[in-house]
Order: sequence, then structure tokens, then C-alpha cells
Amino acid sequence: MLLRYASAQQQARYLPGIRALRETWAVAFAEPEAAIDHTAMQTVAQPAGDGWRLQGEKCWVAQGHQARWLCCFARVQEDPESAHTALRNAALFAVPTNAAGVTLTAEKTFDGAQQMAAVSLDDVSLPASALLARSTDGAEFAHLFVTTEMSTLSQSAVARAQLDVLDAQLQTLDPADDLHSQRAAVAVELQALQAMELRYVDARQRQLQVPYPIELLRLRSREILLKLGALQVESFGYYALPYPDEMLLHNEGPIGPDTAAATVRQNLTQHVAALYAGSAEGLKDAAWQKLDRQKLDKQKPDKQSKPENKD
Amino acid sequence: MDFSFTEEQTLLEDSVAKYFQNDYDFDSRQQLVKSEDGFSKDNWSTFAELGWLGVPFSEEDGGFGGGAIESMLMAENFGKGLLVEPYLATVVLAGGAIKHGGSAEQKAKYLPGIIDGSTQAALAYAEPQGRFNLADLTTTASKADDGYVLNGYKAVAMNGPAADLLVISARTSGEQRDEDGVSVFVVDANADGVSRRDYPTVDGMRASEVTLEDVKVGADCLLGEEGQGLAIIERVIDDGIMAVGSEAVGCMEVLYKDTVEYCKTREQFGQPIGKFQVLQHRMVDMFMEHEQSKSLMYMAAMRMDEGYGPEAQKAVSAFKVQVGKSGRFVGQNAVQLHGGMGMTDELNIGHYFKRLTIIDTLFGNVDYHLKRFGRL
Repeated sequence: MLLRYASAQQQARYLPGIRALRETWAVAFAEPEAAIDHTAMQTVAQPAGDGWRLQGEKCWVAQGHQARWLCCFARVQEDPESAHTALRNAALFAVPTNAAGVTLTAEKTFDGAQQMAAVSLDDVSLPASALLARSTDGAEFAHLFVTTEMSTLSQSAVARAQLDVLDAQLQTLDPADDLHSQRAAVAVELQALQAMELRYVDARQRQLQVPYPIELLRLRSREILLKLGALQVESFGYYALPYPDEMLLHNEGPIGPDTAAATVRQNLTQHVAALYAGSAEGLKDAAWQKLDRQKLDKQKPDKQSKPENKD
Repeated sequence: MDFSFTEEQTLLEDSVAKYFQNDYDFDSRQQLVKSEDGFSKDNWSTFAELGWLGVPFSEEDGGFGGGAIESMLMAENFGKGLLVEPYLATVVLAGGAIKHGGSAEQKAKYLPGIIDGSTQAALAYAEPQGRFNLADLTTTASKADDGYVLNGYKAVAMNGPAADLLVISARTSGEQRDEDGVSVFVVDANADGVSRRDYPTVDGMRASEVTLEDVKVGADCLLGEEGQGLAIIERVIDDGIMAVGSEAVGCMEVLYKDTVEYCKTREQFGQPIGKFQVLQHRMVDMFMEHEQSKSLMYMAAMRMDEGYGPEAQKAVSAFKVQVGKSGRFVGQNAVQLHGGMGMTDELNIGHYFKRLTIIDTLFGNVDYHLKRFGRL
């Protein structure tokens, strides 16, 4: 998002810390009343002197509790008298988490990891340089966040690694076990996803219209990762049940195969992560909006379509 | 990875696409299905003139020298148009067996007739007991004089009724399911001892049951080495999978687009049914099934062009698995979303659905190919 929206000066300020892995960032987007429906966003930025004042509540900020900086969505309210802000007047701010008025609270998720945070922004003062970008179309920003292209396109690689983990466990099972055939089925789905990613990248590189909305790649990779996770858990049979904490593992060693506990935990995390960027239904809604806009010309081959800037 | 096509490939595809837009509408297709021959000999002549019948054959053999990509592009368009002319049977399967297994003399003898449109052919490889096992054969070929004598029964030979030539797999040695001992012969369909029982198939085409009673063939009718013919059949069947799989991708595209159009115009409960979220999501799912199949189609064709071997076979099996599942999903949902209209014989939807259902079963179903994929 910094690369796409921030000015050269801002990039020079923020990117080195990211590259050197010195400073962590988190994106603060969702609110208790505004998750998939970004039009209900209530976090507000009001002009204050040369800079801004931020007020609001954010939740479900992934990796938020450890972040040094937040890339924070807010509405710009230029008229302090008006209670209603323009629905489409959205902005992105770089908010240091050690600023006065910023409170981070870790949110516990059912996978036992404390990956998320709630953020309270109470009259947070920011300089003018903290404004990363403004848009008259809040949907554009929300969209970018939801579909972060790079991470989506690399999901098949993540799935490949998960398939290797599954294969290692499958080797210990009876060759006649049905899990082998289920593994083959997921492997085919994964090949299809890889082929789809390659076609997408190829279209981008040749500056042609992408063949499908990126939301669908996100959806597919998520479905495949969940299936792989399920097969991994199933492959342990009864040893999918033990749920020892770190202390117990350290003191007494693993219960069952030594990869079982970590695999089960990771599978739970995948179910949590399956909600990053919205539910499956939300992704399909977004995909439909894009597909609906395309002309369904049966005559024209896809490769001759005019390139569009949007996905 | 480069998904762009060469100029020649683009020109070929455009010419095939244009033919179907201008000269092969659905109603005419339905008339052909009901006709005596089941396809149009005039159309076949046109295909010969356009050079389509020669695409997969080498230039030395009088063809275009096309590879898997060219065949894929053509087949995808055949699927969009629900082609009934027997391109698969004559050119891809029978012609393919001669191309892969034949000597220079045999190619010179048989291929020109296929390429110029004067010869129809069929590959008779399946048997009632074998299902998808290409090596499961009770038809025998015993050595006699300076040739062989064939006895047995072949099931569902596509384009059997019109065939002038039958390319037949028979056992020259070994037990019923042995991989060694399979031989392939080119047989005159009108030879003594060959009898056919012809019938229509559910997807609008024709096939035959073929009985062979003491059919005498010369030694020059044997393709390749005696007893080593399974490799020829397996190769040809993989070409066949590429062809029908690509047809299925074309069918799915038509079904998806027609369904979207229908949902935008069909009104119930005071609005176009396409406004209902459940149907929008279903259409997104149909779109994804088509795109996954298309993506694996490209991958498989590229692997085949890189060289036939385990990697290519694996890609072909993955493609077939995807097409089986996706074809079923898209076909069934297209019928559902068209409601009452989807049930009728006059609408194209049901006919695409039937073709997709058949393709799932042709050359190995999903389970068969999952096993092959897992083995490779």
C-alpha cells in the first residue's frame, strides 16, 4: 500500500525500516460496526492546524499488537460541525503506535495465538506528513487492502509447502488408505490454481486485461489451504486430539508424532486467517461486481480485449 | 511462463471460430443430428479445404505440422459449436494411431485419404468388459499365412457407422489384461467378417458395436511392433483426452455465458433473477470451474508439446480430472439456473450438458485419472 499510494518522501521514510525488518506494520481497517461494509466506517480524521486529529476504534488488526506503525483507514471530516461525513471521503494515515492516544489490546483467537489487536484512537495528533493518500472512492482503498495482489499470487507456493508436509505424514500410512486419493484430488486443484496464477501474472506482464478477478484466486487458495489442513489433521488420526501447551511439550516431549501438535495448531490458524480480507461470500460478491461489468462478447477471444487498469 | 499464441496459431483459431459463428448455428447442428449420416459430408469437405483435417500431421505426411496447442485451439471451438462431424474419431484417434505407430509406407497409404477428406475412420479399442483399461482385451489376432486373423468384439467405436477404416486393438499374445501382447491393426471396415451394429449416442453422434469373425488382414496392416501396441493406444487416448477436454472447456464457456445472459433477462418475483445473490454466487462458481479447466488445458497442451512422457501424462490426467468435475458442475448448474427452459430439448443448454456428461466418462472418469495422476 505504501508503494502504491505514498509519496516518494514518505516511502523514503517508511520503507527502509520495513526492508531491514526493523519496524513492523499492521493495517487497521475493520471496526466493530464496519467490517465487510466499509461504508459504515466511523473512524474520523479532522484537520487540526497543519496536521490531523484521529478519533475512533479499530478491531481485528492482524499482527497489530506487535506493530510499530499502523496503516490506518479513516474518513476525512473537514467540517467540524457536520455529523455526517461524505461516504466516499476516505484516507490512509501512518500512525505510530507509541503516539499519545493510541491504545493496543491483544485479541485472542480460537487457535490460541494472540495475533490480532483492537486499537483505540483517542484524539491522536498526527503531522501533515502522516497522510499517505486520499481517495474520493473509499471502495478503491478497501479493495486494495482486500486483494493485496502479491500475497494472493504467492498462495500456491504456501500450499505446495503444506502438500509436502501432508506427503511426509502420508508415507507413514497404509498405501490403500483413502487419504492418498484425496491427496491426489487436492494436488490437482493446486495445479489448477498454479496455472491460474501464471495466467494472471502473464496477463499483467503483457498489460492485458486479467482473465479473472483476483478475489477468486484468493478464494481458491483459501479453499485449498483449508482442504490440505483438514487432510493433514486427518492423517494423524487420534493424535489430532492432544493439545499440549509449550511447557508440557518442553518438559515431557511430544504426544504422538512430533509434528502433530504444531500441525493441529496451524490448521486452526488457517481457519482464523480464512477470514482475513473477508468471508468467502464477500469475496464472491466482489468478484461478481467485476464479472458483471465485463462485456460477455462470445465472438471476441479474451486475448484481444482492451487492457483495463482495474483488476 | 508465456501464454501468448503465435501468429499462425491465432490465425488458425480465428478461422475456426469464424466458421462456427457464421456457418454452424445450433439449429442446423440439430438437423444434422437427426439426419441419416449424423453429420454433413459437405461440411467435411469444407474442413478438408480449410486444411483442418491435416493440422496434426507432419508436413512430410501432407499435413500442417501442428502440435498440441493447435489441436487444443481447434477443439475448444468445436466444443463451443457442439461439432458433430467426426474430427475426433477420424483425425485424432484413428489418424493419430497411424501417425504415432505407422511406418512411412503405412502413413503414405492411409493419411492422404484422411487429410483430403475422402476417408472416414474409427478407433475400435474398447471392449465390453474392459471399462477404462486399455489392455483388457479378449479380441484376438492369430498369426496365419502372411498376415493375421482377427476374432472378437469391440464396443462403442465412435464414428463406426461411417468408417471406411477401422483401427483395432487386439491381442496377439499374453493373458487378457497383460500390457504386453497388444497389437494394433488397420482394417478395411467392409472386409469379410466385419459386421457392425450402428446406433446414436446420447451426445448427438454415432457409434458401432463391431464383431470380427475370422477377419483376414495382411502383415502390412500391423501398426508398429507386434505385441507392443499398447503404447500406441495409450498415446492416442491421451491425444483424445486433450481433444475432448478442450471441447469441454468450450462447452463450459458457452454454458456460463448463456446462463449469465439468461439470468439478466429472465424475470420472476418482479426482477431479473440475476439480482438474487445466491444465483450470482453460483454463476461465479461456474465461471471459476471453467477458468480452472481452461488453465489446466493450457498447462497440459504445453507439456504435451514439450514432449510426451510421465510429466505430460500427469498433466493430461489432472486436466481430465478437472474437466470431469467442472463439466458436471457447470452443466448441471446451467440446467438448473435455466429453470423449466433448461429441461427442454429445443434449448441448447441440455445438449451441452449431455456432451459434458459424456466427456466425463470418455477415456477415463475422474477416479481413473486421479489414480493415474497419483501413480505418476
